[in-house]
Amino acid sequence: MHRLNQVVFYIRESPALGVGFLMVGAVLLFGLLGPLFVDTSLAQPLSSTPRLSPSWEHLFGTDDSGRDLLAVMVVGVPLTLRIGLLAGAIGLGLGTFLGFTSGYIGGKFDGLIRALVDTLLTVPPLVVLVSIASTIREEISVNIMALVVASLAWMWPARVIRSQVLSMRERAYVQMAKLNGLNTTEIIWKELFPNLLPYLAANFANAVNWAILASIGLEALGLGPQNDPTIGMTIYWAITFSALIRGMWWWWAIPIFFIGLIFIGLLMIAVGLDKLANPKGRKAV
Amino acid sequence: MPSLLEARHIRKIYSGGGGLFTSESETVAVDDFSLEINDDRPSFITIAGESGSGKTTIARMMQGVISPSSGEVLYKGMTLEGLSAVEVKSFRRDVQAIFQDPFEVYNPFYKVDHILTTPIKKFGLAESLDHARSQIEIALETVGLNPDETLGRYPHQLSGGQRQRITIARALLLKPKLIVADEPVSMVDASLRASILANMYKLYSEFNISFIYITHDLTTAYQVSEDIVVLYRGKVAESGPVEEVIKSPKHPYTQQLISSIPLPKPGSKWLEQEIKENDVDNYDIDSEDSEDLASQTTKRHANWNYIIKRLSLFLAVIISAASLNFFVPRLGSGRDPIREKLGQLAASGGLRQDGIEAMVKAYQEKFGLDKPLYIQYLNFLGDTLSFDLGYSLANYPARVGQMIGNAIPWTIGLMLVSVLIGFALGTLIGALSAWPNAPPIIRKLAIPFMAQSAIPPYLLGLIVLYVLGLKLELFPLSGGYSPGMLATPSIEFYLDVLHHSVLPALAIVLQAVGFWALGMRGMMITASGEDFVTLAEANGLRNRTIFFRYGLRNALLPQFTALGLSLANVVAGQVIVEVIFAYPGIGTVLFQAIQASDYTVINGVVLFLILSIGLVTMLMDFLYPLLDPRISQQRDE
Repeated sequence: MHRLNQVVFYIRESPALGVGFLMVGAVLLFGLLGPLFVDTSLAQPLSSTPRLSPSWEHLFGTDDSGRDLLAVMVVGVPLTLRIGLLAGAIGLGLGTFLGFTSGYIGGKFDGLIRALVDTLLTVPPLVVLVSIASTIREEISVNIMALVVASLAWMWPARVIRSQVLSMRERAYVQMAKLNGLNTTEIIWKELFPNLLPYLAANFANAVNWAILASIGLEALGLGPQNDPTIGMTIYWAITFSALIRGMWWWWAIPIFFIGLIFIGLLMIAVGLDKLANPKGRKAV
Repeated sequence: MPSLLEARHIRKIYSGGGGLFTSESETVAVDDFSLEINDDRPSFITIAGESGSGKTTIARMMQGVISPSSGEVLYKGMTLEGLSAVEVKSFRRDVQAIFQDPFEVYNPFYKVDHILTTPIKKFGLAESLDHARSQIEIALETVGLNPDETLGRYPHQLSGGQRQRITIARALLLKPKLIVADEPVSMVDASLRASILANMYKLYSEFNISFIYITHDLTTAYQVSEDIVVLYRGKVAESGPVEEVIKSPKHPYTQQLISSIPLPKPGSKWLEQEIKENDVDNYDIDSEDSEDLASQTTKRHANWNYIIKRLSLFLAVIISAASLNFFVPRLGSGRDPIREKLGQLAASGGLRQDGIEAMVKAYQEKFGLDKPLYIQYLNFLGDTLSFDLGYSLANYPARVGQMIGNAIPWTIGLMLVSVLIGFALGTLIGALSAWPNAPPIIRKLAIPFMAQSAIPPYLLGLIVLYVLGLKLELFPLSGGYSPGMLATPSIEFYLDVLHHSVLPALAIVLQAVGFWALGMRGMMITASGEDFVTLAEANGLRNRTIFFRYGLRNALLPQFTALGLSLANVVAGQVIVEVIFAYPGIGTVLFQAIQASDYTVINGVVLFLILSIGLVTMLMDFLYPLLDPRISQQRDE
């Protein structure tokens, strides 16, 4: 009950967080409950009459090859979310581990990690992903896509967590913990980690956001999973077959609508959590 | 028998600087300090001095938190660095601390009980939970706290005096032999100071615990301590029994400290007393000190160490980019896509067969399977460093370098214009939206912009293309210039190019404005809470002056750092925008190469983009210290 009150308090404290959860939650619900109401086999090519504009029969219309776009979205939205969650989780996990150890232990290891992160951050990630994805183009599936994106998703979390740990390491309560006889591992997990939770949550929202952005970017260049109707691939097909000039606005506008919901929702969650993590921006409790 | 804790000629030197325009500077925080605490009889020693005199550094060295630059701290005759795990534990039990800030020592995540139960657990002080509880209650009552009113609360629910007394109770639980108390009452209300000092004195007199009491306040030192050490600029100015030192001070600095104690007698001279810096400087202090201070002033000259370090980082980026191009295809599936594509081309025949055969032959010579991998790799590195990117596989006689060269002006032109407009506009909107006096319409306007920042620019591009291009027919749908137009430097041509660039630029600007507005807004809000803004308000400066001179200027610097860091993402966004608009820049070259499996061109574009962003980032790093005078002064952690 106490925890629930706290959640209510947080949302009242930061309306952005509530709205963000609502938007992402709506997209999640659409993906989870959609298959109960929509025949997902209609997401296959040649399953409906092609090039139909939205109507009661096909709420989101159909594309060039006869896919029902409502079914495509019901199948594709969870796939895109899966790429984002998987890559975001791997990236955040790896980044947190490296940021923590490099920030707390310091020394040569820190120097090495810092140089690596700084070098990689000046490299445009999409370009590297293009180089990787274009060589394994035929083998790309949703899961491989997530791994490819995750390979570059850990630098920002590593950097942010490292600087947080560096500033926390100097806090008096860490000194106090040392005097209390805690060792390094205990200090990291018992003293620092709990205080980092809001940062980690905000970073997770950012990492997922980044991963989805990167995957959609790759897909828009035609480097996505060719047989899965993810949101990005739907946009790629719409661009390739000039849906825009041919007036088939539903083909590209509907995936953009879903992307917008996801991105704006995640952004608001990240902003909201960041505010909670940063007591300076928070009103007195 | 070795003493409990001994500092033997310890020195602590901090070095800092090391930016582009500063040399490393050194600050001597503590110079040749010695102190001995004996086990047999408890002692109460004050270390007094003004802020910056090195007293906290001494406290931290005596606790083993930081190590001295020279000299050593000995615990029972063993250096602190050389203690085994078991010895560390016994050192922690014997030497404890009380800190200045009675809030910071509490982890905000836990209730105050946390700092009392943890030592009991870690040092095995209690047999059972009940035993632990009763020990805690006794300790709290000894320092005059009611356990029912303190336990189970969060640190922010208690007063500063209560929090500090809990830390004393914590020290009492451990029954240490020595407590290092660093300014324990300076952040506590004056009315509570006496009772906290009384607590400390009780621990000393009744529980035989020695104290090193660190303070700037000689009055309290006189009340509780036996001996005193007065520090001045890292050195011991004077030491001895507290009665002697305070009644008949010898060092002019001590004399000043004492005469500046506010006495309740009217007509006392502390108000008239000016700090006579010269007196102090001439007395007994070698000229070294003033040199130390002089060396801290910033010298603005190029720091070659930094430049070389940064250049080698750039070289590392080039080599990793080349290695990426070489190894990624070979790691993925063990096959070389360029070789395969060449094989296909050679087999398919066609008009340019001769050239393609020559290309296959040249490729075999450098990267043939009969060559060991490292030779192939070195050949590849050599080609990369000499910018020999080879021929396009899909458009044979065209060279990769030439194709990229043709696309560069388009990409750079579009990017410069859209990034600058987006950055300037976004920064302005973000700043205004955080300013309380801004017209409300600006704040309302900022919200949709900020939401847009979450959507990638190429998707915004589709929307503006549909609305402004297709429906309203205001701008052309694709391309860099009209099909019939001659690409000559004429006004007509430039106007045509401008007309074609509006939509792609708009797509990028729409996203960028929100991004920069969001960042700037956050920075302005932080800046407006800073003390110097409050001070400016108190000084009666006009709102607008405060906004522009204090808020905006200080918030701008991190904004520029972010611009450098975001460059990689800006390029990624633009690459796809170019694809959407079939704009003849690098992005379209890359897209067509991906479509045609033209791996030499893909490699070339990847290399080019990594290099150019690396180069720009490096230049920005070099220029940044010119923008922000603080950066070169910052210490390297």
